[in-house]
Amino acid sequence: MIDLIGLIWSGLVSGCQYAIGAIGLVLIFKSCKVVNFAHGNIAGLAAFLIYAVTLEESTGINWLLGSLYAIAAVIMLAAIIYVLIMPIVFKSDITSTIATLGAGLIIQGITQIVYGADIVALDLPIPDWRYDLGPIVFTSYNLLVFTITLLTIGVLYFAIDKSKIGVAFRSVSSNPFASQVCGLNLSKVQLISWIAAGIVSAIAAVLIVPTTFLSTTSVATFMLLAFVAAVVGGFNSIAGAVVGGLLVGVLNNLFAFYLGSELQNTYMVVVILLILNFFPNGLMGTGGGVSRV
Amino acid sequence: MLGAKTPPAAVTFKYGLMIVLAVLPIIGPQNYWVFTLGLSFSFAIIIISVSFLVRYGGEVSIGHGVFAAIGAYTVAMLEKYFSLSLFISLPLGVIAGALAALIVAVPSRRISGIYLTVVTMVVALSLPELLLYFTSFTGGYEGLHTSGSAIEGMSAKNQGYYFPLVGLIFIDYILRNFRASRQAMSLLLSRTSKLAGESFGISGSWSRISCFTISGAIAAFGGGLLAFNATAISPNNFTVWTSFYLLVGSVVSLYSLSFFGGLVGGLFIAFIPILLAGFGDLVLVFYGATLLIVVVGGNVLQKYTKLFEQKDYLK
Amino acid sequence: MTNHIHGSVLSVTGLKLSFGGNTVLHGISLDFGAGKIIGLIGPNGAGKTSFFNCLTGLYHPQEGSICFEGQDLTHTQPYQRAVQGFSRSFQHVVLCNELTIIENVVVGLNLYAKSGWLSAFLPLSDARKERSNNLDLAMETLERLGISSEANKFPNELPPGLLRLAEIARAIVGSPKVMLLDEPAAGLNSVETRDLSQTILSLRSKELIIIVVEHDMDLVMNVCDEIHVLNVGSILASGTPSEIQNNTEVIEVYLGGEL
Repeated sequence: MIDLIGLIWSGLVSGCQYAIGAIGLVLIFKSCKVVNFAHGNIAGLAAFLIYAVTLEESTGINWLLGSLYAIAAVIMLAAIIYVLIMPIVFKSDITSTIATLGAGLIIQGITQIVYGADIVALDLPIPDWRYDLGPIVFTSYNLLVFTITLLTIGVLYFAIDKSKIGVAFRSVSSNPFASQVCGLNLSKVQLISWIAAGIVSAIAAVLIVPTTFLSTTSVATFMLLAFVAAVVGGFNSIAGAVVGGLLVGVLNNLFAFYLGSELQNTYMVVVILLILNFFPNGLMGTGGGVSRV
Repeated sequence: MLGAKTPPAAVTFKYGLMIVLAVLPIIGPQNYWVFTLGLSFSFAIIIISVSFLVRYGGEVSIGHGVFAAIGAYTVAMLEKYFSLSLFISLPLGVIAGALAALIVAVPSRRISGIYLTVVTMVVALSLPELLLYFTSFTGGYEGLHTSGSAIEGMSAKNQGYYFPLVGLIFIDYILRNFRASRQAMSLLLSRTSKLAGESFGISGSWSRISCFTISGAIAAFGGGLLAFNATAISPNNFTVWTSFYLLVGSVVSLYSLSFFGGLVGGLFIAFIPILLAGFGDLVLVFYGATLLIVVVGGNVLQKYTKLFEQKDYLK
Repeated sequence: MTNHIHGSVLSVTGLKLSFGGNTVLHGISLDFGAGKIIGLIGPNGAGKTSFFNCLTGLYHPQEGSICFEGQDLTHTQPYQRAVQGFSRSFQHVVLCNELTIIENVVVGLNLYAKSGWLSAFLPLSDARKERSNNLDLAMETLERLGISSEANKFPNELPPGLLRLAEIARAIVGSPKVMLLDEPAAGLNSVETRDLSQTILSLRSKELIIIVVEHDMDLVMNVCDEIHVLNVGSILASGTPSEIQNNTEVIEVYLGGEL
């Protein structure tokens, strides 16, 4: 029982990471109906950029600089990808998705060319602190993850609920055509959601890396579970992304502990197929993946 | 006659090409290129299976490496443990692939579009795990070897070339027949509109499950032939990247189900890594750029020419 | 409702349909008899489409029943209704652009085809025979509708009027027992609509119930034996075309419309 609590707790922590990763995916999907397969690769590149800047000295300032640098790069990348696929977004969602896969491969290739076989540790510049409450372990890192996750969700919630662009976003995601008729600039809204998604994915990358190591594939691999989280939660629901992320985080941990970690992905497949069998749109999703005739 | 008629020039070209390819090992240079060409025939078949799902099901899979792997491993394992020849192990591999596709298709029959694509990707992720878990059967990281020889009187090297070539010709033949069948026409209507299909007795579930199963069977067929002519397979040959590359091949071939189209895709997948050997990471960039160019460029072309007009399988 | 009903009857009893808290159909009861062409008209929002969708199986009502030939079809899926002999056309023509017109029509025979999977891939003779029979049947139907010259064309080569006829050919080729036409005149000009009216009239048969949901009054008045007028989820009036044309309530509801 004690084990269970501890596992669930640490599952929630990693769940937050998956949730943030998934939110990035959902933001883009809601505004363009496109699944951004370049998501993990962009996040990986962002992490490496931060690494490059903080290589000499892992100080707060350098981290800030590195983060800004990474965010700028991510914004540029996200914007470029969106501009490239913009003409097809309005024609076919799956074709645009394939285009993002192409972009993802390119980014992954570039990351590998530049950073090659680097496998490094990237620790956050926060003081080491730890407090054990029975099976529940509070560390400075855990708290940071929760704080950032809550902040991100909070900022997004207010932005989407209250701000002008947020209203536009909601309108575009429920009815792009009607939004255009009402004079909304679809491209602008979509571009902004891409940029927001890019920033969110950079945040996710930074949170993920300290728990494992940073290699050219580790972040992308992590992000694959963010896809699972988004599908499970319902691809057109931000709340679903959070729920999905937490669920995936917890389940992953439970499977690893009770059933061994060799077949983690396989168990995830079973979970996905089970959930989608009863909830074809994910736990909190509405409508379908792609609208057909 | 049913369907669009193939222009006679194209037919002549196709048969001419087949003849050239048939005599190439005999009169051509005896080197690595012939072996790679043989590989590309197998890849072509697997790529056609991906395109089949796009054309008849309107769905994109980035997990077909799984079914190819099942075909490959069935052939390799049946040879290793039961000394079964390709003539028996290949059909069995096809059945295994079809069954696996069925197992994935049934629970996912109500999922479509992006959701389905992500599911296929996740399924592909689990394959290397399963292969490594059952190491005692699958040879783990090192994988398995095959003899690459099923008949007397021909070198293994040539067999590794001709068997996949015949396989590709066979697939082209049966898929052409298939297009004229009532099942194909039903699938095509169902793809256009699930409701329309249902209104005429074609259930969405039936369409999805049939499409997926056939696609998986074809992929397994190609995978089995791949094991045969590559003579060595390992989990490394069937990662999620493999499935991505298969999609690249499918897109490059413009989702073609024909001998030539499949071959173009297969050549692309087989030769680019060789041409870019030593710059392994460039392969990724190249494939990514290709996807982007074909997809975005195709869209641009569509605006100005009739070239891509009917290619809206994936609305 | 109707006096003598020979042959099959499609019975709708007490159909109630709501979405959320919104009741769209308030207990509709109608009988549709074979050998007739029955029209369903009404202003926008009257519930025609919802009722039509209940008939085709897209919507399932909360209350009431739909029975045909002794079977309760109320909660069955569209493809199950196809098995019972239902067929339909769509407001926006849904033909497969990759299939020629005649191939599109042959799909209407799929339910009755027997050839298996093996003959789908290999040139076996039983399938060849079936295919050839189906093609002949499809061609006959195209001739019946006057569009046999378009058999080998693709849908994107034809104007809307001919596409609509092709859709109807697909709906009729399998000798259905109930044929539901969803706003068949949608998108057609007056000449095409006139041709369509003639065509639909020619399809009247003792074994067939034809139900037409339509806005175009010319078509409805020319083609239908019986008309039911829907308004805000209930039947406002039923009768022959001339009865409906002279019905004051209907005229009021359609004030400004073309009767």
